[in-house]
Amino acid sequence: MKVFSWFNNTFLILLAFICLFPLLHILAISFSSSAAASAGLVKLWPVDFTLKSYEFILSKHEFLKSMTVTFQRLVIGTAVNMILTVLIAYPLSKETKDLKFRTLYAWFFIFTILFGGGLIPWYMTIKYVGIMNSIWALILPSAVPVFNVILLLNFFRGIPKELEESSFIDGAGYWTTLWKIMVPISLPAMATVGLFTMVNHWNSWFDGLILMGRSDQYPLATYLQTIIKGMDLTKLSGQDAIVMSKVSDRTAKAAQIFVGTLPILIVYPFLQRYFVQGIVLGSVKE
Amino acid sequence: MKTTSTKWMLCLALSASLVLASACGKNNNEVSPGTPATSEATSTPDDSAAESIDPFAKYDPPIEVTAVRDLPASILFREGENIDNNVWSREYEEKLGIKIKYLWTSNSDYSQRLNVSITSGDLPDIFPVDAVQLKQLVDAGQVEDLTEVFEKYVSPEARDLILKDPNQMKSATFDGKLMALPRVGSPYDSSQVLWIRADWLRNLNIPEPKTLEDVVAIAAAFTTQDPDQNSKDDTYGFALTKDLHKGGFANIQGFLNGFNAYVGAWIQGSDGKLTFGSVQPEIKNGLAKLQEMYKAGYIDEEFAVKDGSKVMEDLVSGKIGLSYGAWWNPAWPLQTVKDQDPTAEWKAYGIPALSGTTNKLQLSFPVAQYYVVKKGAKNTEAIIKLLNILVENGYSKNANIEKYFIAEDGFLYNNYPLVFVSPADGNVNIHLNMKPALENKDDSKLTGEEKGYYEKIMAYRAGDPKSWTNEGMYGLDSAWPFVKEKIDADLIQHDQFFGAPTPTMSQKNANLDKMLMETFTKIIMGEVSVDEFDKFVSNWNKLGGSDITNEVNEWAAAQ
Repeated sequence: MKVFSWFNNTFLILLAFICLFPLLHILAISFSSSAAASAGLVKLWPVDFTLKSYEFILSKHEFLKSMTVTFQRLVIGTAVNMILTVLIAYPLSKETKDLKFRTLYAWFFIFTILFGGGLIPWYMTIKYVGIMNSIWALILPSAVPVFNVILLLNFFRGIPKELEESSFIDGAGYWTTLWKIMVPISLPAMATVGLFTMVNHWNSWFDGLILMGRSDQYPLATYLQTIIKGMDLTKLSGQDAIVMSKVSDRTAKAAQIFVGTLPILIVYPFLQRYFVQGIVLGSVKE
Repeated sequence: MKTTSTKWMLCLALSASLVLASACGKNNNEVSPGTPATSEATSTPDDSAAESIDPFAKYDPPIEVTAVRDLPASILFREGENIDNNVWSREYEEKLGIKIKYLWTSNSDYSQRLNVSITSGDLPDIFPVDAVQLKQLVDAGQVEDLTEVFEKYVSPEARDLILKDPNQMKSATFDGKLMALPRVGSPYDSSQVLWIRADWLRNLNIPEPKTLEDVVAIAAAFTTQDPDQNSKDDTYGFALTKDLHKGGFANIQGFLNGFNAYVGAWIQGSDGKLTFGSVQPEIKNGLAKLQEMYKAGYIDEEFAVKDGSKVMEDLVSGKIGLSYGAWWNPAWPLQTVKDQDPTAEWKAYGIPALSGTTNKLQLSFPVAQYYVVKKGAKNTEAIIKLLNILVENGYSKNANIEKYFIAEDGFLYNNYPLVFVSPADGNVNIHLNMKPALENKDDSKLTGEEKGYYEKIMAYRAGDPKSWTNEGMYGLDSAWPFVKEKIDADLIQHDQFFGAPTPTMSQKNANLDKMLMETFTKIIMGEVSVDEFDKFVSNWNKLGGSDITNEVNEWAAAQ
């Protein structure tokens, strides 16, 4: 037994280190001098320690701007997502006798998981709705995360009916029951779903790239993608090279990646304990 | 999470069907905007035939033109300025009465985003496209014919500049109609030469290379004789990336030129027909030599998995001192080497040939971007006026470089204009002007731009290693003396094919290219014998190469 746990611990620590390694490497590069970084001398500890790249990103307009866009998106987007998720999941968790055509409604949502219009119709819809180049282009198209709806729906079903019934007996309607009984009791599931949506909003870059007209409207993930992807070296021209010599600064990129990861990294531990519990609870029903 | 992955799959599937969709768009477009366009074409000559045409005439009242474009990520604006308000946008408005409204701009993936716009028919008036998109748009009838407006509105200086190399203009011409303005440039800007660390040569007491044999000998010495004198066996003789002949540095194009082999280019065969350079027997000789060098350890044994930025690490950390690359390598990555190790002294050495032979310098076709006008756009001629004013302000005798291109403090404005072209011999001329100035230490005859470089070079010579870039790009150590030599001797190998990709090319090129890369890599690494090259050539022909060759020759015959 002891041998097993010893092995087990070593294995897990190694695994944790493997996960941590890229992040530490990026952190070390961000604190190193740029010449040392481009010579590939930096491993896990900064070489020629300097704070230059952090000074640089603090003065970098685009980075700060994209950070604000992302926070805006995160706050509004998560709020919209959560409200809609709850409002859809609760009625759908009822039996057909309580909600006529429940199955039809449910399929209406599930259908969107299975089939979608595709890129071009998606783009054209957003364009003709008239929300291109605004923050709503990043929020409304993904306003209803159906997967989360199903998760929450299952969680609601797992809650003993007696709770709800007692609330009805005390004279509460569906509305009051939802906000006063169901939602407070489902906090673990809500936290899970909330974390999903937050991470989703934080990470998605493609919509920003396609839907936002100017680079100063890009959310953080899109902005990072554009600076990291950089240029295709097989297609460089002379003019690009001069550009390259100015932007190829790895330390600045590393600093931006690190600062860009930090906020969501901080959120995680706080919601983590709900996270596991939430999925398990949501998945099991009577 | 599920939703995003579904969306992603759909994105992929849909982008694959982009081509299909754009083909469908064709019909719609031909029916509706076709009629107004023709009526417009007939009405304009009457209007303007009355007045004599001034290429710089101002629109009164001012017009608004919509556009999209890519902006380099590094573009900088003066305090309070942006793409809608800068020295060029003000110039457009004040001189021409043209206000450009950018629907969107993108600093990466421009082409991808533009494909979405093209497919959904959501096009601005003026926008830059690549050769493939141009062909698609022309086939679908989505862009205006510019032949007439070009003839009528172009200024004499702009005409001279853009027609200097007629092939560049030809590449935008379909069935005798000018469908786009090519972003003309200098073919010499694609020059690739040999860069060597002169300080290592001195350390080892080796003379400068004259022939390809010398180059191989230097690679050997750099591998085995400890050129950096740190008493460690940590150096390689020859820089190479997994992209082999592609990419701007650490490639084999210049090396193969030494064997009279021109990889990736369409060249005139002995029978006068065009043949593909990559399948010629000279390539085999070059590969055999590379295989030898790999076996002897001159080339990093892991080159096949190293991309440009990895090889750059080896350069910067002082492991490699010999690399074939573009003339602009001093800007990147060689300046970084110098930043890390100020004693590093890179110098260009042309493209040495096998002893007793002469070789040509391989250049690629300089136009990668075309400016088009949407079918049915009002004021088709506006694009020509944008060209006129660019040439007037930047390249004519009235040019004012400091005001419009590069400010005296080095601030760059040349990314601002929507329509941009550059002269066919720009950078060579800069070097030729700088040469006497540098030799005589006299900058009085230089233009403003050149003076800027001159000052940087002087700063470098006064002891600032961070200012070396311009010495390497335009100074006496640069690639230009060798390029000029080749130009004067008429030893230039242009890529003879510059049309849009032929049908078989669009279908088969990706596979053929993959096969080429695999075979070349395996041969260099010695996994297969060099005779595998012959098998590759016959496979290449069988799998579409001979069809492509026919198509290219048909195209050439039609020119």
